[in-house]
Amino acid sequence: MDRRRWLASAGLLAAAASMPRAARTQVRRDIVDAAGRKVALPARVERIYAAGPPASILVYAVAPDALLGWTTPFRAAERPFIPAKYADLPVLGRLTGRGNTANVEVVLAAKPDVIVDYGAVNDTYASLADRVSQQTGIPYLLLDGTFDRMPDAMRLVGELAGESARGEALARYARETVDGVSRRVAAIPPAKRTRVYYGRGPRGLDTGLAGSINMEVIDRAGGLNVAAEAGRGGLVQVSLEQVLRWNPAVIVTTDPTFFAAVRGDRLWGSIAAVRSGRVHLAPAEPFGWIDFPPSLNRLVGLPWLGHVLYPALFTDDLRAFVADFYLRCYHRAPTPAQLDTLLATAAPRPSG
Amino acid sequence: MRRRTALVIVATVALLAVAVLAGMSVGRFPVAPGDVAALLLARVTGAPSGVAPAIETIVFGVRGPRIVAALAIGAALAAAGAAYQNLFRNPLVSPDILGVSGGAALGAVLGIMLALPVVAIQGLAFCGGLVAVGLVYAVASAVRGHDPLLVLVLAGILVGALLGACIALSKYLADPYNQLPAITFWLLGSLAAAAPADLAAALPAVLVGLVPLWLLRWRINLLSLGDEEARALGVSTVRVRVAVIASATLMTAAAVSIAGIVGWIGLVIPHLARTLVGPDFTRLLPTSVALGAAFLLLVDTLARTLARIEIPLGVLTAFIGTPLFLWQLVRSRRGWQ
Amino acid sequence: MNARLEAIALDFGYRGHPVGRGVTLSLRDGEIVCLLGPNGGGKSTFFRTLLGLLPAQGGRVRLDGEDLATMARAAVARRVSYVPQAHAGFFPYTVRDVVLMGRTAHLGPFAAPSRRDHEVATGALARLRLDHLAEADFTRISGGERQLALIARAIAQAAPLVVMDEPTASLDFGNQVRVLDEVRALARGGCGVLMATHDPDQAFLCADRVALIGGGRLLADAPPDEAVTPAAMRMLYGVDVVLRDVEIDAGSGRTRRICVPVGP
Repeated sequence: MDRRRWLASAGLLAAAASMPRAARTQVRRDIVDAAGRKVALPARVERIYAAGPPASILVYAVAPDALLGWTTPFRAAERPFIPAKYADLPVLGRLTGRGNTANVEVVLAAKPDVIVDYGAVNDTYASLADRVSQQTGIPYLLLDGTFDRMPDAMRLVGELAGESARGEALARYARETVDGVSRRVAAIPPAKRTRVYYGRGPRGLDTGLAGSINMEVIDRAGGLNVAAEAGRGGLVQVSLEQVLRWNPAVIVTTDPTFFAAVRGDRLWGSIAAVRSGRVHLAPAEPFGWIDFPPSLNRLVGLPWLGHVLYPALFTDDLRAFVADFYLRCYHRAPTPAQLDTLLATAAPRPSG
Repeated sequence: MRRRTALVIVATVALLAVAVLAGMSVGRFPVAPGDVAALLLARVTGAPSGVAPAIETIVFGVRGPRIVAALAIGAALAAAGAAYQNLFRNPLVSPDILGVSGGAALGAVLGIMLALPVVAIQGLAFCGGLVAVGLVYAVASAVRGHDPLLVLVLAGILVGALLGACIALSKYLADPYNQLPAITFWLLGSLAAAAPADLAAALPAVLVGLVPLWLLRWRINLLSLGDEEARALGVSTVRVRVAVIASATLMTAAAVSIAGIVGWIGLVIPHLARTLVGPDFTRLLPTSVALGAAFLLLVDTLARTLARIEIPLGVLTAFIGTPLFLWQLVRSRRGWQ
Repeated sequence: MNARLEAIALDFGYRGHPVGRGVTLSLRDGEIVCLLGPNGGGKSTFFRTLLGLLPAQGGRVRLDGEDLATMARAAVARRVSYVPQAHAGFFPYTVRDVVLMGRTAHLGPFAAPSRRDHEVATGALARLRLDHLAEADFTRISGGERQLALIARAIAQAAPLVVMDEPTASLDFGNQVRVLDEVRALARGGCGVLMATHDPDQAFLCADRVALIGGGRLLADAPPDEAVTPAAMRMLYGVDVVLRDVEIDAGSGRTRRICVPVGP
C-alpha cells in the first residue's frame, strides 16, 4: 500500500539521519601518535593548526599550504627569508605546555582539521592533548621531537596533508644531511675533538650541560662540550672563572650582545677561542640554527657547525648547502646578500 | 657595651679578612695556596711574583672584582636594612619594602627583552629602582594620612604589587626560548659575571649611600621613637626620612642592578648585629656593614664552589638566611627585641 | 632665662575635625601651670599643637616672641622639652641611651653625643636616682621607671620650658610624690613647667596657676584656689566635691587645700 511504503521510506530516512556522526566524516584511519594515543583522523586534512613553534616549522616545511598560522609573530629581520604569503599568515598563539597564549575560541574559529604538536612526549603533554581534543572536538596529534625521529615526523606530516612525496623527500634529505656529518666526524678520535663552549644570554654565561637539548646539534657535529664535565642536565649558569679554566677552542653563541662584547673584553680575551678569533654568532633568521626552537631548523646548523669546528674536514660548499636548505624547507632561495648575512660569522676572525 | 662592641668589630674584621683570603684562594680554576700569598706580596712590594699571568688574571681579574662586589653589595643591603628597620620602627622590614627591587627587576627585564648591551640593562635596572621608590614617595605624599610611615609602607606594597604584575606580564610575553631563560637567571641573582666595569658604577653609589647614613647615625636612633617624639626632641624627621630613603634606595638599586635580586641580607644581618651590639645605630651601622659584607662574600664563595655550576645567589641566601633567622628567633628570649 | 611659650587664640584639632577653639594660655619660666580636664577634653591635642607637632587650625603659638611654626625643630627643642606618657618602645635601647636622646637638640647636625653629653645624661639619671638602671633595657623596666627615665631625658635636654603630659599616670604613690617633687625642683631651678593632670590635688600641691580645659575651651586660668571650685569640678567632671584646707605643719600652721569627692 502507498501508506506503508511512505512509512517505510520515512523510517529509512529517519534511520539514516540518526546514524552516528563518525559515519558522515568518513574516518580514514586511526593513528597511534608518539604518546600512544589513538587519534581518529578525517579523510582530508587541509587545515593544520600547529600547537607550538617546533610544530609550525615542521608543518611549514612539509605542507606550507595547510599551515593555518604561526604561534609567534616574525621579527622584521626574519620576514625576508620567507615568502610573503606565508609570512603573513595570522598569529594564533601557542597551545602547548610551554606557556599557552592561544585562546581556544581562536583555535576553533580557525577551523582546523587537526592539531599537530611536535616536541617532548610525556604524560603531561599527553593529558593536555586529550583535554584540548575533548574540549574542541578536534583531533590532536603528538609527534616525537627527538632529533633522530625527525625523518619519521616529516613523513607523517606529509602523509597527513597529502604531501607524501615532499614529506618523503625531506625525510631522505634530513637523513642524508645528518649521516653526512656523522660519517665525517665519527672518525675523529675523542682527544682530537674540538672543545667548544656554547654561551647564551647577554653575558654568555648560560650554557647547556651534557645531554641537554641545547647541545644536541653541537654534539652531533663532533664538538666536545666543555660544560659536559659539570654534569648532565639542562640550561645552567656558570662563572667566568669556570670558562677560563675550560679554555675552549671555539665559542658559539646566539646572543648578539655577548658576541659584540666578548672580543673586546679583557678577561674573555685570554681564552684560546677569543685569541684565535674562533667566536661564532649562530644565525637566527628566520629560525635559530642551533637549539631553539627544537625543530628541523637545526638541520642547517649541523654542517655550519661542522665548518666552524673542523674547517679542514668540511671543505664542501656551505653556501650552496644553505641556499638549498632554505629553498627546500623555507620555500625561498636566499639572495646572495642574505647568504652573506647568514654566513658572516662562519669564518674565524682573528683580532688584530 | 663599649668593650663588647670593640670585640665584635675586631672579630668581624678578622672574619672579613679570612673571607677575602678564602675567596681569593678557592674556585674552579686551580690556584695553589702559595700563589695568592705570592701575588699579594708582589702587589705590595712591587717585585715580580713568579706566578703565571693566567693565574694572576684569575686572582685579580676575575675573583678580585667578584669579591669586592660581594663585599660592597652585602654592606649596602645590610646598611639599608638596618636603617629601614629603625625608620619604620619594625624589625621585620627589609630594603625591598618600598619597591626598589621590583623596579630594578622590571628595568632589567625590559633591558633583556630589548636585547640591550649589559651596561644598558644595568642602567635600566638602576633607574627602575629609583623611579619605583620615587613613585612610592609621590603616592605617599599625595595621600594625607596621619601616619606618614604607614602610608609609605602601603604605597610600597601597592607599587610593589603593580611592578610584580608587570614583571609577570613581561615573562609571559617574552620569547620562551631566548629571552625567558635570560630573565629567569637574572632574577635569581648572581655575581658570576661581576666585572671591574660593574664596580666602577656600583661602588661609588654604595659609598655615596653610606655617607648620609653615617652622618645621621645618631638621629636615626630617634626615628624609632616615632615621628612626634622625634620632632619634639629636635629632629627634622622629614629631612632625615628623605635622606634615609634616598641613601637606602641608591645603595639597593645599585646592588640589584649588578647582582640581581638577593634577599634576606637586609633582613637578617641587622638582626644579628643588633643581638651583638644593641640597637644604637652608631654601633649598629658599622657592625651591620661588616657582617653583611662578610656574609655575602662567604655565600657567594659557596655559590661558586659548592657545585660545578653556579648556584643562584638569591636562592642560597634564602637557604642559609632563613634557618639562621629562625634559629636566632628561637634562641633569643625576647623575640626580636 | 626669660622664656615664654604662648598660645594665642589657638584653634586645635585635625582638618575637618576640630577639637578646641580660642585657647589663650601662656607659660613662663619659673612657674608651674597645671592643666586640668576630663578624658577626651582635648588636653593631648592641645599639647601637641602647642609644641608644633600638629599644625594649628587657627590662631598661633609663640615661643619667646617668635612664631613657633617658622622655627626649626632643633631650635624649638632647645627651648621646650616634652615628656609624653611612657611607652614601651620597639628596640632594646638602654635607659642611658634614652636619656642621651634628650641631648640631640644640642648636637651638631651630623654629630653623635660627646663625653660632655654623656656626663649630662649621667647627672640627670643621678638626680632622679635611676643610676642603677642606667644599663637596663628600657623596654623591660616598669612603667613608672620608664616615666622617670623620660623625665630624666627632659632634664638632660636642659630646656627652660617643660611640657608634661600626665606624668604621674602610671606611677605608684611613692613615685607620684617623687615626680611632683622633681617638678617643683625644676621650677625652683628656673624652668617653667606645664603639666597636664587629672588630679586636682596635684594642682593644689604644686601649681602656680591652673588652666581648666573642657569641651575644647579654656574655662579658667587662675591660681588654684580660684580656679578649682566645686562648681568648676561639677562642670568639668560631673562630680560633686568638697574642698578642705588641711593643716600639714602644726608648727607653722601651713595648710594645703584638698579636693574630696562626695557621693550621692
